[in-house]
Amino acid sequence: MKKIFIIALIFFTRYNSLNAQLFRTQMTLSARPTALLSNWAQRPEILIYTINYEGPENFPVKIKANFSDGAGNLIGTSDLNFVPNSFFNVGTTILLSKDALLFQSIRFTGSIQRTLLQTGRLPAGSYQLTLQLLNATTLEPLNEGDTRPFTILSYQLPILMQPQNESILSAEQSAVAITFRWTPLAPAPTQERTSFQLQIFEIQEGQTPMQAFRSNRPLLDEQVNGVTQFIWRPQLYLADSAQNRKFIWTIQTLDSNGFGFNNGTGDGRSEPFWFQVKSTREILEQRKQ
Amino acid sequence: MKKILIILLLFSTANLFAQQPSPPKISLGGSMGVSYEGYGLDLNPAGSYYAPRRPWNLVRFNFAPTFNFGKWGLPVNINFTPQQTNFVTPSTLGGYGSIGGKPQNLWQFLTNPLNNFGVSPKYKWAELQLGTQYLNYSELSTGDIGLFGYGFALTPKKFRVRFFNGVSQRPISYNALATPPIIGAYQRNNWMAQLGMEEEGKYSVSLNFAKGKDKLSSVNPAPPALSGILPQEGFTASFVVKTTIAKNYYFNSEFAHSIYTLDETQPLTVIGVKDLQPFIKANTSTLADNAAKISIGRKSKNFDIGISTKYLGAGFQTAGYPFMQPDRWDYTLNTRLNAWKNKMNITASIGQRMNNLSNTTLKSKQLIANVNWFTQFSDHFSVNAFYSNFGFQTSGINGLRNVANDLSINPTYTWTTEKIMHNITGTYSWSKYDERTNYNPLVTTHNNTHTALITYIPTYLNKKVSTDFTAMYFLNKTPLLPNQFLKTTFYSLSSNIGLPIARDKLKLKGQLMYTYNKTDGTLPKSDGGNILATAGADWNITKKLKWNISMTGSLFKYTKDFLPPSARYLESTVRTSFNYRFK
Repeated sequence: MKKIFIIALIFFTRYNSLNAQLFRTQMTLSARPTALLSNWAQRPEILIYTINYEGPENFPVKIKANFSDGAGNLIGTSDLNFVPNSFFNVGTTILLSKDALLFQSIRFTGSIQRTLLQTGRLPAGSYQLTLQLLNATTLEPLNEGDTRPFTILSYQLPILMQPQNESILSAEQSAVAITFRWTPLAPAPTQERTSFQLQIFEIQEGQTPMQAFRSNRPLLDEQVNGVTQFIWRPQLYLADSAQNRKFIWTIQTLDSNGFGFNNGTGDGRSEPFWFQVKSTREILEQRKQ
Repeated sequence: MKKILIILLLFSTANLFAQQPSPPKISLGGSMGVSYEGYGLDLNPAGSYYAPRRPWNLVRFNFAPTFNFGKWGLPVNINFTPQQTNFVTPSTLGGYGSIGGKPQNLWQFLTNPLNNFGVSPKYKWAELQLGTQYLNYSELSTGDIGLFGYGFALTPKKFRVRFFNGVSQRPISYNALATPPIIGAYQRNNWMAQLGMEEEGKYSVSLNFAKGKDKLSSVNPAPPALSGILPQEGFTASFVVKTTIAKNYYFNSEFAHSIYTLDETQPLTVIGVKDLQPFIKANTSTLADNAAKISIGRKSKNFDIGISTKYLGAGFQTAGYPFMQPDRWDYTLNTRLNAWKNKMNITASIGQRMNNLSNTTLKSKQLIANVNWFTQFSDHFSVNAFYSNFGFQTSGINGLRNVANDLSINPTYTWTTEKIMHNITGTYSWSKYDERTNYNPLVTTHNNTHTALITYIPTYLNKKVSTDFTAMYFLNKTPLLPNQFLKTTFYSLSSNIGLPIARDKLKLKGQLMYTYNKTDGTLPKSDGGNILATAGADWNITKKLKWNISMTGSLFKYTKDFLPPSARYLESTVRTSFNYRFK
């Protein structure tokens, strides 16, 4: 019995070290990936998992992923029943996140799973991701696993403040200047510099505000850096009842490369507001009524 | 599903024809016309420091007659331009200045949100909806977006059955050869349905469904995934109850649930959001969340009060409102009061909005309060005052706090002499905006804006000429350094005139406005100016045919510190249209 045990121990130790030699892995993970987990698959730069394999052909492997919080507590792990086998041949294989990290097989713990089902996002904070190769037949680990930390930052796009939605402005005052305000990108980005693109569209006769927004060319497409206020000088004839009466506006938040700050989805445009201008004569007549 | 819809459609159409009354009484209403807008920009010196802000030429055609045959109605809404001015949605030509784009094909032209091709034949309570339609079913399901397609609305007695199937986003393929490349967009197919009951003024109950799905095969090549343009799919169901609970008291509510897939190409999942067959199949990018809107209050002739609340879960998305910002909860108290024999009117509201309830990032709070008070003290004198407060804040080390306070006072005095009724209106507005810059170092700035405006409107009792004169002063102070401000000042004078001639058939109109602007706080001090002049005419050629023209020129001179120095530009716009009323 003792002999059998010793032989088995020698075999197991040898087999394990053999496996460790079979697979050499390296993981590169973006330090600040998008909070929207489904978007990881679309961004090849987020995760690169390099596997160097030397061994028999078509070796079946499962890739297990573990997500931990900043304190190292496990918050999500692959359900191996849903992880398909990957077959390796001699050589180097490079997997990107869509192949290495199969979100369809990862179960997160209670509150995180609920948040993910609702928002698709991991809450802002520090995390660790560990990828480990398992023998698909025995589910025994084939390597120690690669662990990398990452931080999730999530932002709230600006919300428009002024002119308020569906408000009426004085034509005489607006002809000289209209002040636009919006809330900042929240939280304030610590590393990335963002800018705002203020876009104002005329709503022409017969158009709905959203139709004008989706189809017209903007009267103003102005970049505003850092601050959240802009004084627009329309230089338009506002006294006519048939033109320049209604406007719709929005803020598009841009990242440092000038692309829409999509925060994982969308083109960085905030929900638009529309307003109209009326002459003092019209406003007085309206008050009389 | 498709078969059921076709059967329903045929049934409704058959029903329409089966009930044709006789003899029909024929009438025609509505209008048709054509409009042209020309734009010119002359920069001196030449350069790119000011971009043209309108298309050089834009022609629009409008054909909107309403045919009535007895109990039949046939409203037509055709409004289109052969050009493309799309900006938020893609254009096949790319943006302004793009090279290498392609003209739109017929399908792209028909489904361009810029154009309307709609017809809605009606018979009693049945309406067939064909072509472009902007339909509003409810505030949380669909109502914002135009579709090109087909559908119907049936409103027999208190029953409401509505359905529409169409395209809300036209397909545009990725064009890498254009400069800059045209990212494109998938064709988005939508359908919406409503089943409900309603008795006007009493109650309304409805179940609404809205579905949107991007068609993967609609574009070739598809927009690159890195662009963020991903094929999406969403389904929303909502339940609406609106009712009068007692005399003058109302209760309105809507509860909605959405299932939204951010990327149709992602793998299916059994761990994530569950499928809702036959409406939507979930994958790893699918979100599911809820939204609700409730309002309750009292409405009467002289006093209204109500509270309303709106919750949008972080994952709530509906194809019917594509720009709706989720993850927020608002609640507001509104009131309106008429007093003093209807001579005093007060409207006020106070509320709070909380964002980022999902905890995926920092929570933020906004306080929104405003009050408007109007009093007609006598036949001659009235005052309107408005105050609004808007505060926004987030917590944490990079927390932000922006607060805007706006106050406006607007007295009006009117008196009459033998020949003229005089009206003088003054406005003083003060706006204080404390703004924390959203980049490091986070610095709070205090913006102060003062605006004073006076308008004189004489109404000639024996003449048809109308005119008004306005003078305005505007000052904005923004801190540059401690105890040093950038002051921007505008002084403006403007006047409008309207003169009917030729037995009121032709009305001439014009405006002249001069604005002097000065900036102080930068070295050297600098000033500039703007003259805006408009001349136009409205001519009733016949009782039914009307022509109007308006020409505006704006000469703008930059301040001295602008580069290039002493730059100026002349911007001109011509708008003209012919409009024919059928009735």
